[in-house]
Amino acid sequence: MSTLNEGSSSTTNGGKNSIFDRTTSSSKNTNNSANNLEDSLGWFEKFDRFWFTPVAPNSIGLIRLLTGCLIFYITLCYSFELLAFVGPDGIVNQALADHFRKDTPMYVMAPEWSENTIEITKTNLSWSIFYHTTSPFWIWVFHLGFLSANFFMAVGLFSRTSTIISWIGALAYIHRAPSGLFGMDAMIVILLFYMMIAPGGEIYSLDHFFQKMRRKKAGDPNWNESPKPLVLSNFVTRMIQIHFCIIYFAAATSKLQGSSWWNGTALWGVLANYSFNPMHISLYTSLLVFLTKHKVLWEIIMTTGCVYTIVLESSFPFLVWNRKLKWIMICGSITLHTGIGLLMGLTTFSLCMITLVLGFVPPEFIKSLIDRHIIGRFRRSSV
Amino acid sequence: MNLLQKPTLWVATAILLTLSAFGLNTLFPDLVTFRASLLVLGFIIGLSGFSIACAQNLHANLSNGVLALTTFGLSFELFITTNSMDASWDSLILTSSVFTGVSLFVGIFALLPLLAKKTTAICFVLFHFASIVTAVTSIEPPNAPASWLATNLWAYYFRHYLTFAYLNNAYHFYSPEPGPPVLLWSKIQYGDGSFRWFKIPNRTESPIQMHYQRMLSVTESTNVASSNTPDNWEEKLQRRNLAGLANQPQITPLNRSMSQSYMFKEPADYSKRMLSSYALYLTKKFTHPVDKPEVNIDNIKIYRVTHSIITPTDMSRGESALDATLYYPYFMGSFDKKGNLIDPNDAFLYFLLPITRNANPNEPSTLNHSLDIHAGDVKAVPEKEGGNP
Repeated sequence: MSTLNEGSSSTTNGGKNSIFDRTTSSSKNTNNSANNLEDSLGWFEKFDRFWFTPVAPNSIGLIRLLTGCLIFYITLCYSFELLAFVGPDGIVNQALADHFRKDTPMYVMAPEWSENTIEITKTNLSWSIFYHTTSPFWIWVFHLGFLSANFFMAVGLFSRTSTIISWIGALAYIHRAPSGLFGMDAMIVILLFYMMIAPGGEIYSLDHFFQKMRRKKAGDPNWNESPKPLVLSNFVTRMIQIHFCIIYFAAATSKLQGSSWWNGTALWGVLANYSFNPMHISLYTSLLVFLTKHKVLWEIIMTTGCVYTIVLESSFPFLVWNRKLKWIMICGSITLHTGIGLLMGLTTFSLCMITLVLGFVPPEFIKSLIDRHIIGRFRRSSV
Repeated sequence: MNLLQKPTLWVATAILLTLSAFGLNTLFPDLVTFRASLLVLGFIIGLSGFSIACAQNLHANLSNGVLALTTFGLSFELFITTNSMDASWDSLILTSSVFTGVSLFVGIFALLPLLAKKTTAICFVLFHFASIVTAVTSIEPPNAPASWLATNLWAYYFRHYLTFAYLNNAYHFYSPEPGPPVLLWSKIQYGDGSFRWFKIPNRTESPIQMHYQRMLSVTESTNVASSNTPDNWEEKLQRRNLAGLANQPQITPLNRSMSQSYMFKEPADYSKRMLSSYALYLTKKFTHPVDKPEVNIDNIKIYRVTHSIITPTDMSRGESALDATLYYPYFMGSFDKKGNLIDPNDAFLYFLLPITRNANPNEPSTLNHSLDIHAGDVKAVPEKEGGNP
């Protein structure tokens, strides 16, 4: 896993020619030479560069930090009614949970020209500590244990261990309480899955801080240098990017099957859904009423919203790879999810999606943003 | 380098702890809690050793050989863990077995030459994304079966991986159409004649937005419709209408011109079981009325309510999104305190109980609230959130 890093620097100039480097270069000449370099590469070399160019772990470090915060919040939210979700007498009680995983037949279409189906199994590979822990005391012990792991992941202490335990914890709730799941759970699991592989603790973590302190204590003159570029950072970033493109493409193509997305009324179905939207807030409802009283404006906004969603979701997987359009796509996606978060109450889901989009943001940009604006400001204020 | 920085030491400690648990399993099988604690501790320590090895390997402070050795050690520790658990912990045995295989694979991977590593990594990428694509494409499109190839590939090759890691989502958000939300309204009837309504989701009772969203998902889990056509449909409809007319006050009959799927929503087996489990959950949550611990639950009536989305035309006319006529309640059954459906032949079971307003504009607006009538509530119906009291 991590050993993918070996020998890579010799083939890629220590990451200085990474794909991310090219996009952030301001010099025209550098751009031209990079283009020429790319043009001169064969298909295999391009493929190799795409997956195995070492890049700085800033993006991955930030994604780990945000994922840690999100999973901590998500797990913490179970605390309000923990036993209702994972207790033996919860909404999905122990007997039903066991039935779902051990005795639910699954069928597939037969391999001949008929309507027949074949039962292939009655079990599925659901797993959870909460299938076997029925005492409320132990359920709470494990819950607090998972919360601690989430916290450690967020602050970057024992990063990989805490990430793997956070993933195990997230799946423990998900498999045991399938009735309470929604899109956010799928997204957080995607983030956790990739963070298990990623070197997320290499930066913006206590692991990194303690490592620097050890080096300083040992008299290393380069103790304060930035983490070196890693192949694994790039590899995981690429996986996140491709996964995100699949999510968007699937979302767009499935929407295109619905007539309301074509005639521009789908957005109304989303915005005027009382159970999802803040329609209990009078300002929001007044805004909707205002729109309905101005049909042309209503039509323009609803149609624009539908077109924006469909165009963004369907074009993102193709255009985000173009260095000129990349930032438009990223900003468009962040805007879409900010809107979903604010208007539909799906804040955590939107934050998960925005965290995934960060996979497209060059690590150099994140480094400059955090080092200059956050750490720099913190240092100045300390002085 | 201090001892804490030696990954092999961590893994060796983990193996010792796990072997102790294995020994206890043979000698003192009753010490379940202690044994489980040792296994959990061993797992965390072994995992920490692996993590330390990975981090050191990234900084070129550890050879691939030692990384592989650490990983093989972790694999051995997990193998012992797998064999130290009671058979009843089946899902954890499965998990531990999978982790054993994965760590063995990672150990071998660490020893591979660079080209082989890259090839293996790309093979993993191909498998991973192929499986995700089958998850996306094996969903049935509207009014048509799903792709045969995608469903078969999913079922035979990728299902296990996707289910285990919960990567099985099809990402069909708000598609093909954004639908109306489903609510669950339950009337808990106590032995002394008192009752209480419990509705989910409910913004005022959910402590935070996340809890509210999860409750909304719970209601959706009861909304999986059965694909079977009901037997003796005409007879069923006639029974339902006659029972409605015989009721005092009468419950609005359903018009035959309406579509069957609109009037009758029988849940699939999954949703029926969910409803039964939910009823049982309510009996534990609201065992007694407030301040009457001696009184027990008599029955729980559950209604699944589709809350239609207000049309822009109606909103422009000043109507409310909470207008009672936008709610379409379906009776999901009356359950006893063990969560069993009391009468599977109830004439109203799975039928719509329409909430309508008189159509004559010259008469004062009155609401015909079949749900309240069916539930046995006799008092007037305030037109506020939820419609019924």
